[in-house]
Amino acid sequence: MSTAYRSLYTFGEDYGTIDFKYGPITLGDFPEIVENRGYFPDKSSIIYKIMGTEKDVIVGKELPLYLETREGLPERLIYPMRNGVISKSDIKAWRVVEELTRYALRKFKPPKKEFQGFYTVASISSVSPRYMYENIFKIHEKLAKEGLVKAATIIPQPLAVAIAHKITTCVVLESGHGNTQVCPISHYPVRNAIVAINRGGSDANMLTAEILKDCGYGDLAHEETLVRRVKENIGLVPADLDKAIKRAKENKEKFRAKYKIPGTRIEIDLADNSWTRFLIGEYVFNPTHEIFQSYFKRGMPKPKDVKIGDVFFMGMLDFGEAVVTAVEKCPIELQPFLYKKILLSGGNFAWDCPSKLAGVAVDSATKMKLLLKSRGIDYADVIVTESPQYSVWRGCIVYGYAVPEDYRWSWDRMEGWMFFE
Amino acid sequence: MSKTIVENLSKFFSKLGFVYVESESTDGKLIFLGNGEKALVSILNEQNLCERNALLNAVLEAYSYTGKIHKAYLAIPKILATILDGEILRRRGLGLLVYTDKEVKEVIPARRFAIEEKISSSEINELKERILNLEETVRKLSRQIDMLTEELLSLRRSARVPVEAPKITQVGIEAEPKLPSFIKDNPWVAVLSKRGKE
Repeated sequence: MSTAYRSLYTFGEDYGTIDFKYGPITLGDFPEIVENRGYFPDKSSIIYKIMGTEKDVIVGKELPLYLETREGLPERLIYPMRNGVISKSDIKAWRVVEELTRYALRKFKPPKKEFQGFYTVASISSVSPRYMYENIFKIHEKLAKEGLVKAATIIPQPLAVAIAHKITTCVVLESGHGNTQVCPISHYPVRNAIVAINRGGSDANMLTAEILKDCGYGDLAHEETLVRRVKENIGLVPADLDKAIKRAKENKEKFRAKYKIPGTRIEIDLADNSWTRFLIGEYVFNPTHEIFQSYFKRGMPKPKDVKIGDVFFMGMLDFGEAVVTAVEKCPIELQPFLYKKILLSGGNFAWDCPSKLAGVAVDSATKMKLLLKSRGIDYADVIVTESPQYSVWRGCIVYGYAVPEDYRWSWDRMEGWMFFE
Repeated sequence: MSKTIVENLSKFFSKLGFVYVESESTDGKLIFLGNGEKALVSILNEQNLCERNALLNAVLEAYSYTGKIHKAYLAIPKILATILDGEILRRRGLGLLVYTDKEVKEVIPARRFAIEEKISSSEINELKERILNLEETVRKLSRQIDMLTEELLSLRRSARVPVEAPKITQVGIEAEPKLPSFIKDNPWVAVLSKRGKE
């Protein structure tokens, strides 16, 4: 097999928390996307019988056709990567991953005789425990027997992001729904310098729900999709929280937070409490401000320090301190180069910065620079990744294309091709 | 303030190219503008000088304007010129004018002072913005230099590694298809292709 073969049959698999991005190198710049979920239908149901399938789990674009009543959804509709890590004993979640991978590879399997299987590159969280790697390889070994896989490898998502952005030395902050990973990269991920934070977009959703309740929208605060939309449309990141609150209270009309839910007559208006929109963005970057204590006292869950597998996730660490902690675990000579390129990746960094509120509200890159400056790092170059939805998949494709096939998998290095003969 | 004195002083300064600026002048302190300079004349008369320390106060006050005006003069009646030690004025750069009802004479020329320029807050903000822009430009240039350095190092390393001739497989693979844009010019391709060979 040669680079020529991999230039046709390298296949990327980005198991994101919400979406599964997949496809071969021949797709060009953009992958296929399907929701990272599976549905276990009731085999005694009429719909199941009408659809005439024998599958125990349904994935892909046809999934909605199988959905039955809402009551059974929590048990039957599974989002395996919701928190970035799958529990070892979660059989249903692993079934979904297997079926999604099979679905993706079959979709692109060419009818050509010369096809001997894809070189697949899967990407998972950098804090994934070893059993996740083992299970994903087992799934690919199974698919190899079906003629879909020639060799497989797994890379951490921050490495894929750095590859996609053509930067060989940097710090990648990957922040998604459930958690945030801070990973220094210097041609390789510096594994013993990774810092994991038990805080992500879902925590900002919880705070938004509390704010909605305080403003009289308690009935809407229970709908997760709605809360997320409110967060995305009215939440702001302040340059300085105390100053932003003061300005917002002094100029209520200028800072007023209003959002009309598309397709409905419902309009959210925070009115005199519009200053709370700054709490949402601040909480993502730095939950240690005393103003958040009142929410914790009222029962909002405080991000906790937890251990998942071998990894400690810090709950309340602010992002500036997290970056400094990660970088200072690296060789001293490398540290200045790491600070020079900091990539912010993931939906949790996609914050609006309306021009009329500039200076009070800032974007994620500016906030990160301010946090680092407060710790004596004033030369950091921070970039929010372009096309964050596609970065990881693109990194997988470059990796699969470039790494030679005689570089075999090693459990010490956690890199290389695993062949299934 | 005697109108005659003001007129005589105006005539004196007009010969030097200065114009009397009434709007900035007050009783006893006249302002003249000309040749890109601003001059102050602090006028004392015989009545003023009856007050104790009047002369000393006038000298100190005229001196306090240095930094705000280019030239400072003291103007006293001719009859009192002898009581003043001109050396003190000369050392401080103050000029001395002696006047009568008919004329004004410059006895000690005034030294030219530099005016402390006041900078407005909008000018300061503009300067701050320009500094920020410069810093941003420097950061961008620094990034570009780092990228170019990396590429150069990468190219040098690849030049040392013998390039294998591409293997032709038994199966008929067509000419290499067009690669995605994110592979092109990606330094990681060189880095990753050396995995296992370092």
